[in-house]
Amino acid sequence: MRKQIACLRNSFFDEGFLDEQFLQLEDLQDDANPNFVEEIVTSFYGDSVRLLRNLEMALEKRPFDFCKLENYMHLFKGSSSSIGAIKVKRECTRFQDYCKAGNAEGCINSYQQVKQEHAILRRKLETYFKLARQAA
Amino acid sequence: MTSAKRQSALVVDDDPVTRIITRGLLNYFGFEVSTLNDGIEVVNMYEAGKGHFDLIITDMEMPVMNGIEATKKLRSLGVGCKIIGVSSCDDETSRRHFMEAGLDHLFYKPLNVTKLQSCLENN
Repeated sequence: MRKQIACLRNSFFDEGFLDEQFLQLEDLQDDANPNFVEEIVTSFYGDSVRLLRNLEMALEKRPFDFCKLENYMHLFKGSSSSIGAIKVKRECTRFQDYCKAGNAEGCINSYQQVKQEHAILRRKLETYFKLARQAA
Repeated sequence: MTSAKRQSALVVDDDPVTRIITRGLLNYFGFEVSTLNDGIEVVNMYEAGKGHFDLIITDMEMPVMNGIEATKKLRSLGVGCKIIGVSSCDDETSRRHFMEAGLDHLFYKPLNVTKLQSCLENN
């Protein structure tokens, strides 16, 4: 099982899901804070529900308030980069670029990509932490 | 045997994830950490005479009072502790204004452990 956990963890970096920011968070985890990383990730996903809801509500309104959309995505991007979620962050940047260009269709399509990357990483991290807890 | 008193730090950020991470970082470096959600809260705290921190780490962009205004206000109240700003904003003008408000250091988000450690060690 430890091998499975190690493989899964390595895949986060090999496949570009997470960057060195995640490694820094892991370095802060110790016996005094054994679940530090999981706590942060859980908080991220909890908060991202709210942020994504704000984005979806803003995307339902016509015409788009590109400034508001960009600001909402700025918050989401900040949270994502805090845990090292580099693919999510990249899609957030793409969305912001579409906002700056006033490209509504681009925003809609890009938002779907943000959600997809967010969901993929969430599934991977949930599996990882579940296995880590079982192995502990 | 008495233990050395831990230094106190205040993290001011409207992003809960950043607050948890920064708190964890500062705990790691031995600080006793409190958190607030907005610049207005830290200013209110100090105006009420309840702010006594060795270190403040504040975000730049916050909904009610941003970090620039909060830092200016804290310095005008005579707050002399180290104040570190953090921001994901690339705009150089805004970053310069943030420094000029009275920061000791300004870092890009996400906070880098090594850079923060170096900053805290060089008083």
